[in-house]
Amino acid sequence: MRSKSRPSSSAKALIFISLFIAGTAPAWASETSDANHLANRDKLVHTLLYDSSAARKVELSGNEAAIAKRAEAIKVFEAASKHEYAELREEQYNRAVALLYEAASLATSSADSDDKIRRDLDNRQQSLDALLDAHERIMEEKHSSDLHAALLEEIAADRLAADALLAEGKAAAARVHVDRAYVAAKLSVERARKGETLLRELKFDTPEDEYKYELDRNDTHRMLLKVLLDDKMKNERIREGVNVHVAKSDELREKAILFAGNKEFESAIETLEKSTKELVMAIRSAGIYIPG
Amino acid sequence: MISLRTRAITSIGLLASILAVFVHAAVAQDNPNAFNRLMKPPSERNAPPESDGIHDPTADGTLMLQPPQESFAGLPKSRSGNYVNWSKAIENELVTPRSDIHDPDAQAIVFDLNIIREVKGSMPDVVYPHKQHTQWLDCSNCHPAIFIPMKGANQISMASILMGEKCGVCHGKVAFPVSECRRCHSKPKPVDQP
Amino acid sequence: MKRFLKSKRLALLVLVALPIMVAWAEYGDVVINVRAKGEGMAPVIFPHWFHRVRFQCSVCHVDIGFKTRAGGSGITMDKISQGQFCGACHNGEIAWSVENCDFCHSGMPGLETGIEGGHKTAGPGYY
Ligand code: HEC
Ligand code: HEC
Ligand code: HEC
Ligand code: HEC
Ligand code: HEC
Ligand code: HEC
Repeated sequence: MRSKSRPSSSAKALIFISLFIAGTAPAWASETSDANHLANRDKLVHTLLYDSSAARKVELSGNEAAIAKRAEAIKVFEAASKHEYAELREEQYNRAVALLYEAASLATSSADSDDKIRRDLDNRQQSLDALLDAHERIMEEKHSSDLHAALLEEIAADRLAADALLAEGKAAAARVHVDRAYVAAKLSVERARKGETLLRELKFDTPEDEYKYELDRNDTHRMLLKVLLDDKMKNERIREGVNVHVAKSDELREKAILFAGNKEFESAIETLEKSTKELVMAIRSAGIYIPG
Repeated sequence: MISLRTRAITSIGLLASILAVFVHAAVAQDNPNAFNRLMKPPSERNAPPESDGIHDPTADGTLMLQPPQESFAGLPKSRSGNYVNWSKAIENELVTPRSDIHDPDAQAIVFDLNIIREVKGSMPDVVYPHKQHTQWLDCSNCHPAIFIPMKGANQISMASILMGEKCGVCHGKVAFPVSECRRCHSKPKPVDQP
Repeated sequence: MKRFLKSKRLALLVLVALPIMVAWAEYGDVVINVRAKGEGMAPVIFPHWFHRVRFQCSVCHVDIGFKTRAGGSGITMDKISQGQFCGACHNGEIAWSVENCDFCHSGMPGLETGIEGGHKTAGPGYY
């Protein structure tokens, strides 16, 4: 990693020289620069009119109105390219862009956008279902399943309407109803859980589960080692110190995996804990404190 | 008017600065006892588009873009990422992002539910706050695509986060990076625990 | 007016950025170079920081439907012109419209699609 220090005098000299050159920079540039800017625009708009997805779509659509619009756009563009006045050229380029977009619009079949509407609707539906599941569970937990029934009743009409519209292929109209049901579910979950703090305790059903957790925790520390020590490992002394611990940790991890293979999970867990501890020590040996 | 001149200056500037960087770096190596050896100096943060290494400094458009520092000047600081504490910024209404494309007054539903996840060892427990998330995000950003909305139903480990899954879908990319451990591991263990 | 600003910015750039200029892309900038490169267009750079000051994540990632994977949404100029994706706002109403090609197509040639950032740490005492 680079340090924050002052540039040396030679660096300063360089800066001054470059500033000097910059200060006397070409006054000859102004005319050509406009030309340059316009040449650039010319190229960009050309790309849009001839090579872009919009242009290709118009061409392949077979839609006569769209094709005619694109032809008009190209005409405006070509006139612009020859125009004398910069200001006017700029304006005409913009018009050519607008015309091409009108052409693309004409060439868009409703099926194109229906795809996206359909996908968005599916996502929203999944979120609604997830919130409803959560709502049902929370209300059971709170011994007020009647509130869940009330929510279902509130949104029943919207869900029916959505299904009916969807069956007719009207995804956009269905979305309005799904959205309304979604907001109702969201508000009801919000009311039920507002201001609460839930605790997910660390409990394991079987020693094997705990072993798996320990394996994860060991992996985590291996990755942390990389993330936290990336820069420091460039220092040889630090690297050596770290590697001593990592070697010990590797050895312990292998042992633990053997234990686990024999279903001796208690020993496997204990050994993995030690292996992880070595990784924590490796990180600390490089001068970075993390709790272990 | 100015673009060619711009380009001329920029390319001279670029050349000189490349040289300057070499000299600068060489000086840095020379002085192992410099202060803040490992700290990114403020000057290396939030580079303006022209010199951030991904925008094309010779393009007309690049110079029209806003430098981040101009926007961040009045916002609360943090130690990494954008060097802005976005949670505080939105809490104190220093930024007021719209929750609806068109309607500046629409209010998102903010949901105040904390979920604490215990962590083995002396590493402080993780507090997952719905509040700070629903100020920016909708339930459907996470449920069910990233998390099943049920306490404990999701396997989350630091390894998966660092791989860009679970919390790592956003943290380390757009939301504050994983290097700010304490913002997530915010509930210390009682002192007498191992 | 704009040009004046530009030249002032340039002077500042030369003055301030020179001694320290090295590449540090802003955290969260997305490079999109899936279809652009095939058409000889400069890669697109989408700045998250700039947009999140103005819009919540959900506006783009739920309502508009951008995927949370760089290059994953299948954005094309055609769709933009239909008011989808960037075109939902860059339509001359909510924000400047699409003829300003190089505000979006502003990347250095050859950039890979992806997000800037990653799990770099900032110094000692991370924990
Ligand atoms: C609001 C931002 C924005 C503006 C303004 C914009 N583009 Fe794009 N453009 C994109 C994005 C995003 C992509 C997708 C990039 C990719 O996948 O590589 C794209 C892709 C392209 C492509 C390749 C794919 C296709 O659809 O053909 C071309 C060509 C293109 N743009 C040309 C232009 C031109 C010419 C202009 C100016 C008239 C322009 N763009 C203005 C955002 C923009
Ligand atoms: C939800 C609305 C919205 C969407 C979607 C959106 N933008 Fe923007 N964008 C804005 C607004 C508002 C501005 C500010 C316009 C202004 O300065 O008046 C802006 C400005 C920008 C800027 C200029 C930033 C600066 O420094 O001034 C860039 C570049 C940009 N957008 C790129 C994109 C690209 C690329 C996409 C699509 C991938 C996109 N935007 C999608 C709303 C949006
Ligand atoms: C940034 C992601 C994110 C967002 C946005 C989010 N949540 Fe969650 N939610 C979580 C996580 C993480 C959990 C905990 C899962 C676990 O413990 O396995 C959770 C858990 C829940 C639970 C389960 C609580 C219980 O009773 O067990 C409910 C209900 C819930 N969320 C509802 C919502 C609602 C309603 C919204 C929108 C207002 C929302 N969430 C937005 C991430 C999110
Ligand atoms: C969909 C994106 C997303 C996911 C997934 C996500 N977060 Fe966040 N988180 C954010 C955003 C955005 C913020 C606002 C702060 C910022 O951007 O830096 C935030 C803020 C936070 C904060 C508030 C910090 C503070 O100082 O107030 C905590 C704590 C946090 N996240 C923890 C988590 C945990 C733990 C998980 C996984 C269980 C998680 N997040 C998953 C996007 C996300
Ligand atoms: C975005 C939030 C977030 C940040 C930032 C974060 N963690 Fe975690 N961490 C978690 C979550 C969530 C878990 C899983 C807890 C559980 O088991 O439910 C976790 C678990 C852990 C574990 C236990 C092992 C495991 O993988 O389950 C360790 C050790 C750990 N974190 C260390 C760190 C260190 C060191 C840092 C800083 C470099 C850090 N964490 C930063 C969210 C975070
Ligand atoms: C103005 C629109 C907009 C807003 C607001 C926005 N994003 Fe994005 N986001 C995008 C676009 C565009 C992409 C790139 C998608 C693509 O290339 O297909 C993206 C990509 C992402 C990715 C994927 C990065 C990767 O791993 O490849 C994440 C994560 C993300 N955004 C999180 C967020 C979070 C968190 C917020 C709120 C703090 C947010 N976004 C706000 C437009 C937005």
